[in-house]
Amino acid sequence: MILTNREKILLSVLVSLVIVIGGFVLILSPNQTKLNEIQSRKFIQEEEIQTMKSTIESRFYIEEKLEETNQLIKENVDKISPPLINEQCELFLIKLASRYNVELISVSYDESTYVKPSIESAVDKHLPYKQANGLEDEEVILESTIKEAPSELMHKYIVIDIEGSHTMIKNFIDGLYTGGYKTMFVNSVDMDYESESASIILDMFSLPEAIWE
Amino acid sequence: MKHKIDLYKCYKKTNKKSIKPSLNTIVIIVPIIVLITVLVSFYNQQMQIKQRTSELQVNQKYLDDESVKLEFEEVIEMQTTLESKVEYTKQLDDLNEVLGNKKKIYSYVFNAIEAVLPQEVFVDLVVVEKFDVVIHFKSSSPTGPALLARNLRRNSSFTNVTYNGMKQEGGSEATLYTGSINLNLTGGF
Repeated sequence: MILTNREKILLSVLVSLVIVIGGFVLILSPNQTKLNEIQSRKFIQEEEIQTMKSTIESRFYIEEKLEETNQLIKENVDKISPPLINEQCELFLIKLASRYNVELISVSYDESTYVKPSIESAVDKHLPYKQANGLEDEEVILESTIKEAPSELMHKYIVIDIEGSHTMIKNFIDGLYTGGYKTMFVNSVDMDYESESASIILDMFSLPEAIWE
Repeated sequence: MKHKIDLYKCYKKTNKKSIKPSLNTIVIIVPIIVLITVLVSFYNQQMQIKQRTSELQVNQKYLDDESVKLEFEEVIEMQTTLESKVEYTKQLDDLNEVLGNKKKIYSYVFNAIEAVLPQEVFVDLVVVEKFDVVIHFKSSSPTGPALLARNLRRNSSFTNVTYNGMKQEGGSEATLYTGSINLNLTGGF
């Protein structure tokens, strides 16, 4: 059988098309899918490796930051009284009383409770208006506002009864702030000038022992 | 007899023959070229797959390395610790801000009261509780209590001064006037 030139060309084109389509469908396309899959797996792996490497590389920075933060915590913790031990506090009060020539009659300690320290302020909300109109001597209506800390501390009331001259009692009150108890506040004072005695209630905030350690 | 030869025609004829391939050749070569192209592409893909697979294995080896894993976990743990410590520092900061602004009762409260006492007035009892103050007094003169209340009202350390009046006590020889004054300390506790 002899093929014409036209038939030869058509046959060649047909064979070429079969090779291209067959090759693409049967070989190249499945291979490309496999290659894409491998590449996406590699991409995920590389991202993972990058994360790991950058995390490991940040070790020095984290160590430095940890050191800084520990220092900050120490500084902040140093501003708060250590956990209160009643007998230690009493020894301090006895020493203070003897320094200011005051007789310590009684000391009693309340149960410790966890509280959020707060500041209570009494403000006359009408004061700006009164000042503007020269009415400062008018009756003052105080309204209290409370600002609360976000975390809790151990709180204890300490009640002290003392006897001595009012000058010495006043010195004793000021002396209460000179000990190592940085967050001890005089909550109230009943100063009896006639009998030369006073009853003092202390607000003691201290760190829980677990944090102190 | 003399023959004339056209050399150009001869050249053209021979040259045409040598350059132009026959149709049969073209018809066979084209599918072969296409086949070779497909095979080269296939080979290229296979090579890429092989290369990527080996890279995958190297990466996996790094990811599976116990020492790397251990170091990574250690740093992650340090990071978590740092975050919690930073949060704790913030809490302590806020705590100290509140504690630092807490007002304290000092002797100045009593000094300020004593400083404005008229000569004839004596303080019996002073009760200070946070910013509330109550003064119980005795006076040898009837004008003493009112003078004390006026003096307290003029002092900037105190506010909301409330004078509740006085009461005469004792006999004609030692007449005393007693009473109390309520006031607030300026500032907060």
